[in-house]
Amino acid sequence: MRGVKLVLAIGQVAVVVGAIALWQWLSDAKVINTYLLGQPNLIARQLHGWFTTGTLWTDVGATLLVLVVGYTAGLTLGAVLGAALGLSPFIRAVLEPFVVFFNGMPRLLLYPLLLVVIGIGTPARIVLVVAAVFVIVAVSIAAGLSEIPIDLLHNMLLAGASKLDLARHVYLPSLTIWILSTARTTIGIALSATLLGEFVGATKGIGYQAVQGQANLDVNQIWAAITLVVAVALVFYVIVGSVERRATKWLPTR
Amino acid sequence: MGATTVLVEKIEPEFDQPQRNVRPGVLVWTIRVGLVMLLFGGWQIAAGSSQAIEIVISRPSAVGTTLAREFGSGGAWWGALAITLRESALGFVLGLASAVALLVLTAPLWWVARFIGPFVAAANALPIVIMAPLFIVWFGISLQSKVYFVAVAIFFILYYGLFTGIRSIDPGLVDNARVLGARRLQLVRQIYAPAALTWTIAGLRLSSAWSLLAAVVAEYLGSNAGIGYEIATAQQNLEVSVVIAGILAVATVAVILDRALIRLEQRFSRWRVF
Repeated sequence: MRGVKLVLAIGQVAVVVGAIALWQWLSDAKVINTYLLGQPNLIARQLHGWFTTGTLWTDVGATLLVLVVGYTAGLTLGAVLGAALGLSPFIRAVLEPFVVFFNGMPRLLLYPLLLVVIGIGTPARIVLVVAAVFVIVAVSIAAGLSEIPIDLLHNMLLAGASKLDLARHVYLPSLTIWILSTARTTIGIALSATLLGEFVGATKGIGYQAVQGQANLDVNQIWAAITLVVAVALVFYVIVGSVERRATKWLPTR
Repeated sequence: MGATTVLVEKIEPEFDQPQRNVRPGVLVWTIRVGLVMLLFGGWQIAAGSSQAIEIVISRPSAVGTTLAREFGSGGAWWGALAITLRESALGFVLGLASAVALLVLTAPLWWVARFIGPFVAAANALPIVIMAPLFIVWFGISLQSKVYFVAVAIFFILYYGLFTGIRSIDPGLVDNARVLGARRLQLVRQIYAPAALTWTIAGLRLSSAWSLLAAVVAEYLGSNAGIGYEIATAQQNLEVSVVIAGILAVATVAVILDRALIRLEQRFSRWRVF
C-alpha cells in the first residue's frame, strides 16, 4: 500500500509538471490561442514582476488583512451568537426566523449595499467577510451545542457538578469542537468574500489584480492572481488544520 | 471520554429541524415582531431625521415603492429574475451532468479515482469567485459566461460530494450483492445509483445556493441583463433603495429555494440507507 501511495504521488506531480510543460509547448508552437488561454512563462514573468516591484507584498498583504481580520471577527461573533442560540431555547425561538433567512440568503450580495452605506474601502470588505462567515459558524455551533445529551448533563448535576463545572467540562469542549470544525469549512467562503470585495472599488489586493487583468484583457495576469489565491488558501488550510489537530488531540480517534 | 464520543458522533448537526417541546408562544412572537418593527421603525426615523442619512441608507418606504414599481405591471424585474434563474438553472444542469459523467468514468477504476482525488479536493478548496474575471474574458458579458461560471462553481461541490458519498458505501453491502450474483450493471442500479441520488440531494442545497449566487455575482461583475446587473447599475447611480430592493428580491428567492430543498431532503432521508 505504501508503494502504491508513492507511485500515485510521483504520478500526480508528473501530471502537473507534464501539463504545464505541454501548455508551454503548445503555446510556443502556436497551436493554442495564447491570447485567451495565457501561457506559463508569461504567468511566471508576471509573478516575478510583482515580486521585484514589491507589489506582490502590497497585494497579498491587503488581501490577508481583510481575510484575517474579517475571518477572526466572523468566527468570534458566530461563536457568541451560536452559544446564545444553543444554550438558550428562548433566544433561539425568538431569533430562529431571522437566522434561517440570513442563513438562506446569498450574503455576498450585501457588498453593493455595504459599498454605498460604509463607503468604498477596507472596512466594507471586512464587514462583508464577517457577514459571509458568522451565521454559518453560529448555526453550526448552535446545532452542536443543542445536541449535547441531556442525560450527560443530568448525570453531572446528580454527581454534584456546579454550573461552572458544566461550562468547563461540557460546554467549552463542545464549543471548541464546533468552532474548529466550521473554521475549516468557512475559509473558502471568507476568501471568496475577500476577493469579491477587491473586485469592486479596490486599489490593491489579489482580487484587484485579477480584475485589472480582466480590464486589460491580460489572461496571464488573471492566472498569476489565481496562483496567488491558491498559495494563500493553501497556507490558510495548513494553519487552521494544524490548530484543529492540536486542539482536538484529546479526542478519542474514531 | 464516553461523553466526548457522543459529542462528535454526528458530523453535521441540523439547525433546520424544528425543535421539539418548544413551540413559539405569544411572548416569542411579540419579541419577533417587535424586533422587526424596531428595525424598520428605527430605519424610517433615522432616514427622516436628515437628508444626508437618507441618501446613504434610503428608507423602508422607498424600498417598498421600488419593489412595487419593478414587480408591478410594466416593471422589469420579473424578466431580470427570469434571466438570472435561467443562467443558474442551465449552469446547474451542466455542472451536475459533468460531475456525474466524470464520476461514472472514474469511479469504477479505483486507482483513477485515487489519482485525481487530491486535484479535486484542491479545486474544491479554491474560492471559485477568483475565476469570474477569467470567464468574462473568455466568454464576454454574454449568457454563456454566466452559465459556464455557474457550472464550474458547482461542479466541484457536486463531484466532491458524490465522490465521497460513493466511497462511503459499505463495502460489505457490495460484497454481499456480489456473492448473491449481482452483475456490474445490477450493482450500479441497485447500489451506486441510489447512493448517488441521495448524495446529490444532500448536496443540492449547497450547490443550488451557489448556482444562484454565482449567477448574480457574475452579472454584478460584468453583464447587460439580470438582477445582478440591476443591482450593479443602481449601485453606480447611488440609488440605495434599488440596491436594497434588489438584494431583498434575490434573498427571498434564495430562501424559498432553500426551504423547498430542505423539505425535499427530509423526504428523501426518510428511506436513506447509505
